[in-house]
This record gives sequence, C-alpha cells and structure tokens, in this order.
Amino acid sequence: MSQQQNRTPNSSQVSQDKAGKTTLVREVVNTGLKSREFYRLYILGLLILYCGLFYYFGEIVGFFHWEALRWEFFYGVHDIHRLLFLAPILYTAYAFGMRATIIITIISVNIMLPRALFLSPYPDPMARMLITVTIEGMLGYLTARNRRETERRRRLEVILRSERDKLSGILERMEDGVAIIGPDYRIRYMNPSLARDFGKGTGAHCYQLLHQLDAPCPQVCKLPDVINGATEEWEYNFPDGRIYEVLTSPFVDTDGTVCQLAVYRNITRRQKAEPQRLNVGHPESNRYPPTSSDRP
Amino acid sequence: MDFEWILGLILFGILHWVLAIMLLQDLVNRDRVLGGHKAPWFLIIVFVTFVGSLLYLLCHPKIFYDSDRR
Repeated sequence: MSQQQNRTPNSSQVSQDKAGKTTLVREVVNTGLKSREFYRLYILGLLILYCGLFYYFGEIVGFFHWEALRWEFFYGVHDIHRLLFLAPILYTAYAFGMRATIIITIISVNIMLPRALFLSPYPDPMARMLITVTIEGMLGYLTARNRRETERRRRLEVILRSERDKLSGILERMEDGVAIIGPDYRIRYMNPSLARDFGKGTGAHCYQLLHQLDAPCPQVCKLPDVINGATEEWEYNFPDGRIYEVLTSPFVDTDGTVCQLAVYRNITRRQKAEPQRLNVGHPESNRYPPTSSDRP
Repeated sequence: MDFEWILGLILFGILHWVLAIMLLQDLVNRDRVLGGHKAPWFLIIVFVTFVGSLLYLLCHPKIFYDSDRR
C-alpha cells in the first residue's frame, strides 16, 4: 500500500514536474535563440530553401498557374540556377566546417537530381549537374579547409602569445640581469633588471654599455668561445666596485644566428661579506644571503 | 532502362550511403538522441533514403556545430 502511494505522484509533484519541464523548454529556447550557431543554422536552412524553390520555380509556376511569372528564364537550361547552390555550400564551409560542407553538397545534389532524372528536356542533364556540383563541392571543401587552417593558426597564435607573455614576465621580474648578445657584440635583448643596473642599451655594443670600452674587452671576452658552443662562467669586477658573476651559454636567436645568452648576478655584497664571516668563524659562513638583497 | 537512369541510380545510391555513413557515425558517437533510442534512427537513416537523413539532420543540428572538431 505504501509502495503504491509512493508510485502515485501527488498533485504538488506533478505541478513541480510541469514547472521543471516548462523551465527546461524555456531554457532550451532561450539558449538556442541566444546562440550564434542557431542563427547560422537558420540562415543555412533559408538559403537551401530559397535555392530549392528557385531551382524548381518553373514547375511551381506551372503547378499554381501563375501565368504572370511564367518567364523563359525558369524553363531554360538550369546551369545558372545550379550555381546558386554555391551560396549555401560556401556559407556552410565558412560557418560550420568540412563535414557540414560535405553534407550540404550531398543535399544539394539530392535536390538537383530529380530535375536531371525526370524533368530536364536538354541533353546530358546528369553530366552537367555532376560537373557543376563537383566544382561547387570542391570550392566548398577548399573554403572549409582554409577556414580550419585559419582557426588552427589563430589558436596557435593565442598559445604562442600566452607562452611569450609568460616568458617575458619571468625575464622582467627576475632579479638577475639577462642579455642576448650577437656575434657582432651588439646587445639584442636585455631584461629590465640589467637595464636598471647599466642603463637601456638594446642595439648598443656590449663593451661600450657594460665596460665603457671602444673595442671588445681584451682577454676576458668569452663571446667567440660561447658562440662556438662553450658555456662559460666567471666573475667580473667593474671599475665602480660592483662585482658580477657572469654565466654565458650559446643561444640561437629567432633569425637563426648563434648568440650569447648571458646572465649577470650581482655578488658585490656577498663578496664583501665573505671575509668578515670567515673572520668571525661562523659555522655557516659559506652560506650567502639571497642575491636579490645584493643589489646596491 | 537507359544508361543515364542507371548512372543516376548509382549516383543516388553512392550519395545516400556517404550521407548515411556520416550520420550513423554521428549517431554512434552521440550520447542522447531525440526519442531516447538509437535503433529507430538507425533504421530511418538507412532505409528511408535521403528523407530519413534529412529528418535526422533537422532533429540533431549539433552535427553541424562541431563539424571540424571530430
């Protein structure tokens, strides 16, 4: 008895169900009307309908005896009329994609087929229809392919931009200076940290900007070795007292040129603090404060 | 039956099966279909030539939306 009562929905449940269904239908309709795809599909349907009606307009005029509309154009060879189907095919290719284009091309053939089989009094209607549709289908296919390629490139560009932003964000926020120096000793890139320490100098010669020299640094310059594949590490004392630890490695730039990627770490405070710590005899004297605090 | 008729029928058959296979592929991959059962749609697509395919397309227009994704 209790089971039977459970099975029988009461009036409040029924009204809830109806309200739920109404809400669902309303939601579906609202979502459909707001979506771009719905309008695209609607336009496609209209295009197919108009093309179909235009293709058989002569027969429609004959059926309804609309004598005023009995123009010779609707009873001639239908090659021009068939070209109209290019509109829905190309629209599908542009708006939907490859598979939809194939489907619409097949639907177009199916719409044209009755005229070719039963109605056309002109010679070779099937061959003419097939040639037209093949050309239209090919154009649609190429358009869809082009669209897909464009979409793919757009997506790749977004990914690339995001990766580039991430990388440039890292380079801009890191405390160490980073520079890319070409084989002609010109600075191709320097991050804001290095620009803060030495001034902006992209495009300038590295020996001019970093060392105020007129020629490549004698003896200490490792650029030729790095370009040949070596990874180097050394310390450099600048005339103003700053000491930098320099790490360099080869880097292939976007134009294919092998350059030097150099990381400049300011170790002035660490170097100055080292003898004092050793003197104190602190057991952790070889531990240095983070280099971010080394900046003068 | 002349040659053009035979050609027409062969063409019609090829087109029907190309369209039907594409729609059946969609039917198999689809989680929900109108009516809840896939078997009737299978029969309609295969046996009601062209009209069945059109009916399926009209009832499941989502096949157009993700045309490039699958």
